[in-house]
Amino acid sequence: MLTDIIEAPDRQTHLMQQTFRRALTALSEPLRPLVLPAIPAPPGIRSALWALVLTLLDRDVTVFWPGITATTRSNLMFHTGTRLTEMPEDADWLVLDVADPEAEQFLSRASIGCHERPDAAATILLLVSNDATEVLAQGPGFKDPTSLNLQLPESLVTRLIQNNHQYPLGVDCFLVTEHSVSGLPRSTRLTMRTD
Amino acid sequence: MTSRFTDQDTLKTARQDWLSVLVRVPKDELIKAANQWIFSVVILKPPEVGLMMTNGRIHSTGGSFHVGEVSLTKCVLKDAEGHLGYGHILGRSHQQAHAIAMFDLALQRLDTSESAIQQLEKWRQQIDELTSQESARVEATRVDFFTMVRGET
Repeated sequence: MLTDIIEAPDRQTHLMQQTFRRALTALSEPLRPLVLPAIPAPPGIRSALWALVLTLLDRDVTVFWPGITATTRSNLMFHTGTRLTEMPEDADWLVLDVADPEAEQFLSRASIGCHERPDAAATILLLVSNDATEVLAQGPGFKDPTSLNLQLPESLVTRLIQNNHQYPLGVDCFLVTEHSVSGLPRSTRLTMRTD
Repeated sequence: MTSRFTDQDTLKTARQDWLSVLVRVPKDELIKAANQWIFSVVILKPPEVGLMMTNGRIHSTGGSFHVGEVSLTKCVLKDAEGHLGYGHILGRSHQQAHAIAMFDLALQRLDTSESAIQQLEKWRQQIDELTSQESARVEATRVDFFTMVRGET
């Protein structure tokens, strides 16, 4: 029902500019967590996710959001006017919760673009949890191969490792916690630590 | 919920009608009139100014083209019962957009709709009068072209 719609954050334009700036930084300095401005979000939605949603989604893009609640849906429609789709293949943006057992399957169906249009690939907003998987990351933004703990379950990391096998095709990810975001662009090469 | 409208479709038609009147009301008069509404509201989207591309076409058969961008101010309010009041206006008047949103709410609420409708009808009459005066003035300068048929018919 429309009564559940929340207020837009104060000084929305400025907040969204800050959020956009940090989202860009997140992609240029992969896997470095950046704190996003705290804003009121619909119930059950992380503040950082809502900030990214308000900043990045509009009526020109399609979103795949499995398990979206009615309240979140009406807020999403009201504040961004974006289009929701039922097919992960069609979506420009996917909002996936790593706790969702189907997340890996949805991720594998996301669009990776084509050689004429690598920019047509989807971007994933991944809601991370408390898992920890040790990986070695390298690529643009890393001076040396760096050992890091990814807040993702192993199965998803395995999926993401395959992500840049067809580089420059592949998806770009934002790992979203309650208040921060870190980027995982397709240019980052991950290796599972086995030692 | 104390609303005059139970389904969204009826609301949509009624709203299109009253908004088309409200946007033509002189700005100062509208803002003054909106001050009478004392119900509490939450500002969902504070008045903000943006640009909107307008499309036009010459005659009904012409192709559509961009005329240019116009500035637009919009504002969305919510009252305690959960009605949404929208105010979209050409130009950059925050107060006017807010006032239209207040009237949009007042026309949906049971307690205020009666006096709001009265006010609306008064404005509608004024606007209709102005429109008919203007079309009468234009009509006086109308030129009708005739084509003479030449030669054998």
